[in-house]
Amino acid sequence: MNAKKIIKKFIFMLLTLLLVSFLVFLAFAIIPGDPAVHKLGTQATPESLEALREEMGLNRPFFARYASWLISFVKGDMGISYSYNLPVGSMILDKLPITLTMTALAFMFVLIITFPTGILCAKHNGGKLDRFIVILNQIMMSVPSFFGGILITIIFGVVLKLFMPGGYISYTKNFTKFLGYMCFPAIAIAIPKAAMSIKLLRSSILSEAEKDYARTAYSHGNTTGDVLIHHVLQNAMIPVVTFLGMALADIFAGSIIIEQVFNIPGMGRILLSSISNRDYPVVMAILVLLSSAVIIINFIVDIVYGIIDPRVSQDD
Amino acid sequence: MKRKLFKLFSVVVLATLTIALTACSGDKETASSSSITIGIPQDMEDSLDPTKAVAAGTKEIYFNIYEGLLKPDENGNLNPAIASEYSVSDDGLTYTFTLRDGVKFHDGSTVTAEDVVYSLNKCADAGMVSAFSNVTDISATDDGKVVITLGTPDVDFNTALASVNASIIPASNTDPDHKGIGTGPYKYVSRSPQENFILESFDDYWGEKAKIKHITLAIVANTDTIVMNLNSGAIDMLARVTSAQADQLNDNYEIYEGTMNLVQALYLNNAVEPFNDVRVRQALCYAVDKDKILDFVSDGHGSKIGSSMFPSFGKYYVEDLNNYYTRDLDKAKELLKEAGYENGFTFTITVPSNYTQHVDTAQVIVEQLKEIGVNAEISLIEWDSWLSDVYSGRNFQSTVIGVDASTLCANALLARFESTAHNNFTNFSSADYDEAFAKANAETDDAKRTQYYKDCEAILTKEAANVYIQDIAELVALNKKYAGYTFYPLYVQDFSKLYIVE
Repeated sequence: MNAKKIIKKFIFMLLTLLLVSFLVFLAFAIIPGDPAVHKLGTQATPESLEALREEMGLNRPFFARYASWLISFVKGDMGISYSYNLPVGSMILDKLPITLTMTALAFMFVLIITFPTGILCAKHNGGKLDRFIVILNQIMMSVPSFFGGILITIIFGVVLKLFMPGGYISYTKNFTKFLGYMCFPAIAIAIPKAAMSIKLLRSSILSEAEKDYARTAYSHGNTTGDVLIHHVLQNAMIPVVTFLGMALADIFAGSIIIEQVFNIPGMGRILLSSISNRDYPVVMAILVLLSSAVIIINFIVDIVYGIIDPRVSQDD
Repeated sequence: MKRKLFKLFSVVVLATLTIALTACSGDKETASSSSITIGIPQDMEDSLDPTKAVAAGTKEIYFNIYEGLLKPDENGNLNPAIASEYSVSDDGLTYTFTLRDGVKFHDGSTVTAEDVVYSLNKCADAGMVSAFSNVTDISATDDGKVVITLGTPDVDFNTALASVNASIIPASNTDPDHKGIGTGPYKYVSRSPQENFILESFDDYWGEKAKIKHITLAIVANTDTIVMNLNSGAIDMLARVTSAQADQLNDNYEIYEGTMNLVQALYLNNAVEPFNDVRVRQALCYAVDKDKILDFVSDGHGSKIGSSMFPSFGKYYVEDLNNYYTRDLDKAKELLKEAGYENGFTFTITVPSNYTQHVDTAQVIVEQLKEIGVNAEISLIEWDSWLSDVYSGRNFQSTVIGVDASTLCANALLARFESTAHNNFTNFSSADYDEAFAKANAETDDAKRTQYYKDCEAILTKEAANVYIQDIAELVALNKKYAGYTFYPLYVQDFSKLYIVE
């Protein structure tokens, strides 16, 4: 990773964001309805609609609107929400901790589950435990997270009463209770992701374990566990890290759905309501944020690659 | 290095799990005795200024925070609120209001005639209440009264003064959009977008004070989890649950049953083929079985209607019209034959997808119309598209929707069918109707006026303007810890009557 490459990646990132923002803006210009129609609802008269459109600046040509949005966004001003009449920046800042906490917890759960289970499976390759986990994995992978969320709500919320379904507590009110509540949606997101990474880690370890260096390690008298953890794991992790990077971005963006199931007022809720309210300053800001997150995570994955596998950085 | 990282990671994991588990066990804390959490399906509008409120879901909550000169009660009466009494001049043009002594705003200041003039002018400028377009002057007299002058006589003008949009707010509030100050039994405390809206009872309220101190309106956007949220106790009350949801609730809940106060119908675009032919419209009326729809949509709850009027409007409601068309497939087919549609036809029912009851109703209608050879297709669209395409654009064949009344007068439901009305989205046009409606509005004698309105309703039925179906049942789930839920003939929620059962 030299400076030139970083700059190249950075420019590419900016171009991607520009494209994303343009496409979203375009989509809003094409779909029927606009913020003025939404705001006036059934009370709208042609005159009042026209007046409100003028006030909101919706009557200007498409490119003029996009340009003015882009210029103020670059300056750090994300605009004012049409449906809440609040600065978009502060609105998102209020919701960001919720989504970030959920993402962090979910990713932590993925890591906790993946590594011990993956290694265990590879160690007992072909055994009863391995076969059981492989089947369980297959099932978990095919369960969409929203369904998993409903199951978790029923099992842990309704039956075991470990948490109160729908009883979200704001992080500003009681942080520990907030964290406690967030664990459950995080588990719901983590399960399918963990299942996929276990599968990947298991097969990656197994294929590495057949290579010559592993055989050499065995011949030195090491136990299976020793060989797997100290010799094989680092090499086996390369494809897993790629997957985990993608999964992290996916968890961040995918938390939108699970927020609905657990009634969490995070970024996803704001995003969905803003789409139906045609509140495009909010939608634009959130989508640009989400896309930057995805791009930045990929960037970090590239760097982590270099640390795990020195060949990657040498090759470039 | 790797070891250290691993240790750090383990510490973080353990700490989080410990916190999470201790937090879980502390979850069963009992709520403060004088508070209630009420679920609402959508967030409130941006502005806390009642004169700008549009959405029915916002206005029904603002009913608790803001009040006008007059206020409706649960029996459909208009009672003095901020005004203690009022008189109308003989020509019906001048309304003089005496203000109630010592009515306080939530910020502690006293309501003055200037505040009233300011608020009503604001309401007139915002243009949300059509009756206000007739107002020529609003002024305060030297002895603290408020005089409203109209351009032409309007017997129903007092009902407009009771609407949430005509609420009285302090002229001194420089930021009414973000700082909600009213005179109602509850005051606004705070809000968090898509999360909650918090109210607190107002100790200096002039009337009967609210019994529950703290109200949290929690936004429950996902209808699939509503039942779980109620059963877990996360929310104590939810208005408008479906009968399927009500069946799944546990013993902690009492279900209150009323009606939603709206005219649900298969609204037909009277200007497009084939619905420009009255015989086709009548054929549809004969083919639809309202009882079956009620059974399917809400287990038989709700009340059938036959015109653009619902039962809680009392004197204006004509029950006989409900049975003007009884199901008669032969007659329906005959009418279609006369109209030249012997082999039936195909049309589209456009329904906003967020309203389950309307979508369900449309599905039953599709099945029933098949029996007379008419093929209906349902097209589900988003609410905003419905607003722009169907409601303002009038670019549709038919739609299933519920129309509500903003004020307690017949006009609120009937004005839209005047052929030139700006909100006549069904393009209904009938010279007889226009005549009867004009007569009603010009009449000052209440009995005659009511009769003209009834004539209007009968014309809508006979002309088969739309396929009228029902006033949908409203089921309210309330935790048995609380009681006192009261239905109104308008689309409002009155939280001040709720109390805690000892």
